Amino acid sequence: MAVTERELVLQAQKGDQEAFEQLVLASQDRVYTLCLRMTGDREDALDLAQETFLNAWRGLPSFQGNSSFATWVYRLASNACIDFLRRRKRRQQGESSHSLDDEETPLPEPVDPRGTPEEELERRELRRAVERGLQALPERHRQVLVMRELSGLSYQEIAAVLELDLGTVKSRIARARLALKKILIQEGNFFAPSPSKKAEETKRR
Amino acid sequence: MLSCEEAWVQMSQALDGLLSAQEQAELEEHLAHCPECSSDYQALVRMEEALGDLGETPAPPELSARVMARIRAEAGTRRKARRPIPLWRGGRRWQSLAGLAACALLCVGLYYGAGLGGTERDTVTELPEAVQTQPETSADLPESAPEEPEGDPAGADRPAPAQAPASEPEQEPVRSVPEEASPASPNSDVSTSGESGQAVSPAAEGTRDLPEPAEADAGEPETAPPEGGETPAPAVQSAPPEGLGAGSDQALAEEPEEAAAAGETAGDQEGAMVSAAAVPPWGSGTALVLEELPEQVQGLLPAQENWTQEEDGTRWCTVTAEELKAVQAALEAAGIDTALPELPWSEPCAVVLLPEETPQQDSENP
Repeated sequence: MAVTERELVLQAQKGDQEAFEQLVLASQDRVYTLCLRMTGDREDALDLAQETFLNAWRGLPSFQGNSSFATWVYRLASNACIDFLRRRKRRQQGESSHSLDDEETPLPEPVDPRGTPEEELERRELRRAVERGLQALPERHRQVLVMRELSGLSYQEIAAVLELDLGTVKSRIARARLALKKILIQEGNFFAPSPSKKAEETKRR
Repeated sequence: MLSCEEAWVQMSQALDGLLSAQEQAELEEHLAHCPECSSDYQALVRMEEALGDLGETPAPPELSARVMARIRAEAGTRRKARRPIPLWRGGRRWQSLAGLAACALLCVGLYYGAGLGGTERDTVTELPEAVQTQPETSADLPESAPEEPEGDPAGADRPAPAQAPASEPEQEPVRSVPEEASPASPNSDVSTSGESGQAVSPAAEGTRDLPEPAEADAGEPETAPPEGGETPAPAVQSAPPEGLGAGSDQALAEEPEEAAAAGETAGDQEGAMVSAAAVPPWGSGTALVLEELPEQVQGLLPAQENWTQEEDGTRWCTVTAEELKAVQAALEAAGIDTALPELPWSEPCAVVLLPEETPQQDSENP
């Protein structure tokens, strides 16, 4: 029998650690992804995600249930990331030590190989390019794109997490995408259709 | 007619399926006549695809593991804070009334002799075995001296005074007990400072109750009116486990001070050194006494099945000072205060895990 989030929250508020663990497991990928993309560093992401969940545990007594737990904890993560980035900016100019940029195959590959090896290679190149592009974006743009594109949150959910109205979310996402496009164009390779892709693109369009 | 800027915003929403039919038509109209926007749209789709491909990154397993470990540790710490834990239950071989009395006396004497003011956890170190009527005690004293946190000058002094009492273990206890009221005398033998007088008294009483060295938590050897001399617990260490709370009726008189010091610092858990009315089974090295073994340190220590288990359920293992330092660091990183004395520590060090049931005072008192 499935236990609802609401029930888990009530149990956790009474001190039930197992219930809280279930809540953590249900939202950890989303939280970790945000922390990872915002910080660009695995260790920092792990620390921030950990702190986020600990703060959620400690803050449970005052969690009112006005939003879902998932939204609430995600908001905590989002704020923690922004704070972290501000502090990091003040501390240093350079990159962190475990930068995603440094890794060759940093992340698990998607499991649905679609085409020929060349196409797969190209797909990987594009992924790497958008990853770099994401890291180069200003925080506010990066944040909404991670939420919308990587975690698939709806505009409403994003509005709830960031406590913004829908119109602001729409325009922020549009601006973020525009900014990313510009970065990718500057980088050079992203939008140059390669021979193997040309035929495919024609078909798709 | 849409401007190219507006068209971009519309394209963005089109991607997310948010356009009305009319808006969709307007956009298509624009794209049909604007090659730049048309290629922009292609770029957008391509970008969207690549981002979707990236997807979420699964959280590593250590995330939830660490979170839950911290939560458990914090919950455990809070729960266990301030609970007095009697260290020694009845029937310990290494305890004896006489021994304790002698210890008390010695401790007091040593303490005062050393001129220690007893602020911090001065885990003094174990009482010489003189208590156990073993002449070797004197040998212990000098050893313990270095362990004394405040020790330096004090340490130097201690061995000397210790010698005297050490050599007469049998006599001291006898003398001190009946002489509660006349603190000065026994003390004068051992200590150079004058305060010992008071200490003796407590000590005497303390020893009577002893069987458990205890937790003299904050030092009051309860019986020993620490107040009196506040007995700066010379050498003994109480292992004020948590809360050095009141439980320590049994505490050796000496303990008080350092117990106190240790006690308040211990706060949550473990703590200090093994007190010594008698040398405990794990020897006279520096010991970390815990009520439970947090996850953070389990990996740093031998497997529990290899630990020695005493009759009352106490389990312990010996470790090097380096290993104990690592344990201390891990505990402190988790916010658990260890109340260990300052370095150097006396080896072999030990980690002692108290048995699980509710602590009870031993009631062996005569």
